[in-house]
Amino acid sequence: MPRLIRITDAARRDTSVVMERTRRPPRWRLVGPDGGDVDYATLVKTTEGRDYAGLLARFGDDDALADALVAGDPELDLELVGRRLEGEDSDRVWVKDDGAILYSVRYLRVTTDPNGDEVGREDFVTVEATVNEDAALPWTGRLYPKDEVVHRFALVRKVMLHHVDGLTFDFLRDIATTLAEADKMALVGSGARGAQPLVFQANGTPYRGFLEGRVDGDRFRLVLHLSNFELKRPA
Amino acid sequence: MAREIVVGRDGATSRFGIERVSREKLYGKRTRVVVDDAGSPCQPGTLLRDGSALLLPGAIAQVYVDGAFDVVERDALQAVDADGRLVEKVPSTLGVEQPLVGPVPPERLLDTATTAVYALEAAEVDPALAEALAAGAIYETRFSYRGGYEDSPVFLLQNEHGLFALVAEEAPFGWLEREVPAADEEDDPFDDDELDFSMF
Repeated sequence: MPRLIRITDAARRDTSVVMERTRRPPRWRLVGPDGGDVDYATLVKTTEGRDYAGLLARFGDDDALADALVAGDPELDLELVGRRLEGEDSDRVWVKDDGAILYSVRYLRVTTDPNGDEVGREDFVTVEATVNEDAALPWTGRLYPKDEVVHRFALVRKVMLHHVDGLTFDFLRDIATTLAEADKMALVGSGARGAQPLVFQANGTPYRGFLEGRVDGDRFRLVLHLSNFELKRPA
Repeated sequence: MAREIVVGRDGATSRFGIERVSREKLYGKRTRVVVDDAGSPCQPGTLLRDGSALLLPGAIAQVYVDGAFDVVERDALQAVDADGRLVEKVPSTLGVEQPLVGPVPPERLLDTATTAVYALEAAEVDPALAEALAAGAIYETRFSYRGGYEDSPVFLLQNEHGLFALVAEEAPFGWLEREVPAADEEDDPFDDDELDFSMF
């Protein structure tokens, strides 16, 4: 499914267009020593009760465990070790300290400061996406020189806004032309005034957006650059 | 020896110590933790559907295997390009002088996506380079932390908080023309977005 974004131009008109990511074909792939293809496989390495703690509990002390290791392979479940796991072979579960599977889970949101110290713990509340085809992102009118943006923010992701028909082609090209002629980037955010972050899926990474336009004759590019931190030194 | 980015420009060498900067280091973070009824944290497990095993963290190995399902050790792997030609490994650039290009316009940085940020400590800096960076110039060179099959562009710049190196990857977009068909309906740029519960 294409991912839509509803954006607004300087004339307060809004419409939905498609976000498109950059595609850079891989420059290399891994092969084996003979040049043959290799596959990335997920295997069972060890099973419950066969780790050191489990074996120690079973044999009583280190000497008895050492003797058992010399005499046989108690650390290996030969029925399972080496078995290849495919996605449909297993389910993700949560496990308590005593090894019991949890049938009802409770989610907490734990906040830590830059030093890693916990500063808050509360029930987790889902953060809804703020970017979708229904809620128009406002035109903030806040334009920043490109030089200032690249010196202040780490631009970690980007998507190109792509037209879906002739009308949206003109709409996007007009925004690109406006920004290119001003040689500036427009701040993009969510909420009534664009002050809230862009969240592209529930509980996803929050970003600030900066819209950049380039025009080359009849062609254009309108790229939304995304940042989730400033260029600062840790305290 | 401290890890350093070393660059050369007009015959002068400059050296910078590096310290990784991340969102977590600047603002902290918020994470989702699963707890049981008593409030004790729980760990994720993998339950095989046939009920034969419950696999806890560390019980699963991810390996490369060949067509005969024999494990191929990582140091035996090689890289080939689209034509099947071997790709030479690129050594780490840390501590090795790299030619500096620039100043480059901000559009050059905007053609890339930043993958890592390092705060720089100037150990030895060409005065002309220091002056240009302080005036807002952006310079580009190549970077590979550990070495690998390709290096990356890295941009050196300075703001009021200091000197930074922005490691990047190329993020090229084509031009849109009226004749270009509407966007690819299969593409979802955020289907790999990791769950991140930290907010502004």
